[in-house]
Amino acid sequence: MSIYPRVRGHLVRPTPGMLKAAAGLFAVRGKAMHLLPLERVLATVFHKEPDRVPVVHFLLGGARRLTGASYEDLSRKPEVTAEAYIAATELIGGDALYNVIDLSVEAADFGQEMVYPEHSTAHPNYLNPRVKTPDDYSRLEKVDPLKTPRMSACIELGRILSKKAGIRYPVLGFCFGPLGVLAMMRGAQKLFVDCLRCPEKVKVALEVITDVLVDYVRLQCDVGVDGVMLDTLFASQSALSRELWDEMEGPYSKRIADEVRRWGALVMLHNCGVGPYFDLQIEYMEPDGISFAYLPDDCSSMSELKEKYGRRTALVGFVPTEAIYREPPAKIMEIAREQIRCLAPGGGYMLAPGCEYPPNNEIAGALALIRAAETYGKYPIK
Amino acid sequence: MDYRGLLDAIAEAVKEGSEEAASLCLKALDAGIAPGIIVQDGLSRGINEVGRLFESGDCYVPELLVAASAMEAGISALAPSITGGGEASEKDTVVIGVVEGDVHEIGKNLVKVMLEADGYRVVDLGFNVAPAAFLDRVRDTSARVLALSTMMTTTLPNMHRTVELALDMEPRPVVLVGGAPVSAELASELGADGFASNAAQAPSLLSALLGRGHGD
Repeated sequence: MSIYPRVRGHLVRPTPGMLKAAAGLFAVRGKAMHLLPLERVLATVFHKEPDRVPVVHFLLGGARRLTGASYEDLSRKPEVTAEAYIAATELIGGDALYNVIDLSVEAADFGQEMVYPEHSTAHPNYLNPRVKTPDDYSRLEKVDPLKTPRMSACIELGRILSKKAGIRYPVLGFCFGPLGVLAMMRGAQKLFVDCLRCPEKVKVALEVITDVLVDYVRLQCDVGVDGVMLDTLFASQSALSRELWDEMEGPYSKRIADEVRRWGALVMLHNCGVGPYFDLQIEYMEPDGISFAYLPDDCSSMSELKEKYGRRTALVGFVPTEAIYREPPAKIMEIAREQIRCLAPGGGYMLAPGCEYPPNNEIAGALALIRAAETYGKYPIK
Repeated sequence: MDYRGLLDAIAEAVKEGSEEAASLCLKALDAGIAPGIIVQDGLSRGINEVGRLFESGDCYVPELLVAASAMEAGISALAPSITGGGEASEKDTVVIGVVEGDVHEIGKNLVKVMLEADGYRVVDLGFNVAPAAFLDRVRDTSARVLALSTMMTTTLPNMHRTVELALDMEPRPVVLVGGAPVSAELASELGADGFASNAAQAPSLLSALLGRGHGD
């Protein structure tokens, strides 16, 4: 059972005003004692200074190594995933749980054939794409997330995590953006070309996918997750121009974010592309936090990022995964220290890798992030 | 349309991502322009211009992809003439592919287009390529260059293994690496000779590594 009570079958959540007031109280309490992760994150999201900077380590595939789960079981069995994620958070530390597994969950349930490698993340069989030609866009059909194998497993994962987390950890749901889901069924390269050559055909599929994703995030909220993280990778210079994203995903992503907010949950974004369009994403989705791997396209430094966006949304990031992959813990801590120094003052900052923690890495890097937050992230930041 | 006008139109069609590039190439052939000139002064000029715009942030992956598609349509139209005329590339052969375990190939495909536009013969092995397959093709084609890509940290060890094996070859190919989790520092640690952070940089990087000017 989630921490939120049910009245006539519906979860009752605190209003944003109540959450803000609670965040203020946590900030005051954090000056005298350690906060629970949920309290720490809540204070941060509302731009208060908690006891220390929270850490979200995104140890997804890597968590399986702590429980000995196979990659395939981690991808398909929510009880196995929950056990691994909770073990990772309790053993290593970390201030949030999340029900993200991989980026193919939604596409698989639209009929995309999948591959489950032994030592790597599940992915579509790109030799057999669900959308083979532009005419196939109109052949995608709505599905009920509760009656599908993978989305229903993630909803169940959210339920298990919310129950186990209690009042200790916040739980974040996850949903890949509509263009991302479509890319998993068409192949990103062909989808990019189609966005230019036959955008109206693409939009037919985006409408169907968005309808399903709206249901999907609502169902995640209904099992008690505290927020939902939307992955809007394509809103970055790595993918589409600002104008093309504005046309092809902006309005659809807004519908999904609005649904999350309607159910009283936090809207978080993840965008690990180069030069993410913070301003456009904020305009459409008004996120409570953005997880990112690179500076936004309109910022040239961390101080500019903090100045421009630090009061508009919580910043979650952005230790390079490449550094976590290859650098020793001391160097990772050094990188984290600099980011904390620039981004944490005043609250509104969570330390995190720019993207998923390298799944086959040792966990020393994740421990380094926790240690950095405990060593350099205590408020007031020195 | 005169000689210069046709070549300009071909370059423009590539820039616009228009598959009209193919019919314009055939017109140019009919007008007596040599296939090598059409490739160099028409198709390659167009894609190089898009590459410059991409590098400066004035165009994005989709625009580069449709330009590449237009260029490929032009090359396909010219293919019979190029083969018949024996107009082989003057530059070296590059074997390119995505390392074993990885299926993301947009970056690799863009690098391929930019290198072909610069005159290299590119042997594309696709994605999920085993180290031995890379080495076999380098040997079979006498390629001077091996270009590897990956988008995931889980497959970096496979890239590392491929680089190590390539460095033991005799003669040893020049090894380029790229992809989201790769940096110049990591490339150096892997033992690679070069790293390009985006596709548009690949030709000039390779020219520098092979010891000659870009576009030679």
